[in-house]
Amino acid sequence: MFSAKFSNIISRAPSSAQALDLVAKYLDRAAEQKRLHRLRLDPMLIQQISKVSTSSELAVLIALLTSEHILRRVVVVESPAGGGVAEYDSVDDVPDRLHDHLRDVQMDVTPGDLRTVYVANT
Amino acid sequence: MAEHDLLRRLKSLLDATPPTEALAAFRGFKAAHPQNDHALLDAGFDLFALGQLAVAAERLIVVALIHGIRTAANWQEKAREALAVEGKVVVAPVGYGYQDVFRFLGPWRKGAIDRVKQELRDLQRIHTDSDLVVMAHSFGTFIISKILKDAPDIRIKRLLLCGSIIPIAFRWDSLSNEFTNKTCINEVGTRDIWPVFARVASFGYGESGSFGFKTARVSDRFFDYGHSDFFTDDHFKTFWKPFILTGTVVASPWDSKRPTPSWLVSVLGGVPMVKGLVMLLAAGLIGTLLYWASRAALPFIAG
Repeated sequence: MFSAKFSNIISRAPSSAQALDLVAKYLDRAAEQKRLHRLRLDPMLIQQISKVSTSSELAVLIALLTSEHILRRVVVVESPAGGGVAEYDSVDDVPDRLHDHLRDVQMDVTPGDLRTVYVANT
Repeated sequence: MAEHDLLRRLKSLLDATPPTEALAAFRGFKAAHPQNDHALLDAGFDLFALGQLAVAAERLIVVALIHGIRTAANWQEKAREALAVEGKVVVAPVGYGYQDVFRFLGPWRKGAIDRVKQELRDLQRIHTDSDLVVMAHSFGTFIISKILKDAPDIRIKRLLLCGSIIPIAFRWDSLSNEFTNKTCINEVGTRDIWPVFARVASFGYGESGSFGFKTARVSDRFFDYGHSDFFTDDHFKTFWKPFILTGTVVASPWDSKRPTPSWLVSVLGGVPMVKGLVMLLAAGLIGTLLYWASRAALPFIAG
């Protein structure tokens, strides 16, 4: 299922071919086991799956997967108290300041408050 | 690689921005770049937020190649082609003009040393925030040994020597550059007799390229090579590239198989320096002449 989707990207980005192939196989397995909709991949898990050695290669890989709509980004703003406060599709949508309902205070959002996960577009 | 450069610039910006202003700074940076770059910038920001872009924004590696004597050093261009990685590794052949054997054996070495020193300083100035890796061959190894002593401002991250003519007793432990056997490799050609010749024929040279340094701060790596057999694509890719990119010291299969040095190398290695003998002979000759001259002059002085 995913292998076919990936063949197009691999031809455009041959330097990432091996990493893309590993991700395709991982997603195919998840689809076969019918757990695709439950997958929430964080960047470090993608690095483990794809076996890329540097995080610049990882950034290129994630960029390919998201721009080709294989994965969808979910940006979670987390409260310093623990737990998510809000979710967004992109960092562009995250406000600089928002209400942290877990503490009932306004919080200034910093990169350290963000956790990004990627879900598979089925 | 443009992607790598872009991520590095993003990281520099975010590192220099207070955390509460980072989101706005990121949006501004993204808006200033074409749409094609946005997916990469988003991914870069994800990694930065996770504290992982520090690994991604590797410093640029600048590789300086320093050649030996009596050569046009066309291996440098060959090495550049094999070793350069766009956006990641810049390879710079460094030269000091054609050095003939008389200059090599004589005391006129300062010009070459100064020239290379100036080139390395310039490379550091051009590529600020980069790591300097030096690969030197033959007389180039002698030059770099002088620079290591005299120019502590030139910071060399990794050093690879081949066909080295640096004296075996070189004090690696007294340098401001703290090399270890992970950051300094001496590639030895077990059929290479030129370092031994260099030692016996002139001052300041040694046979580390024939025998190795055998010191804790340098990793000696042996090959079934002559003096200039290191410059093949296969050697560059198997042994040089991993060292340049990640500091990996790939062991040579010849390390454990190498035979004892040839009779010629062994004999020359045991010979005292030719110039020492020549000087002794010269001193003896002058002494004898002075003695006979004084003997001949004595009757006239007495008379």
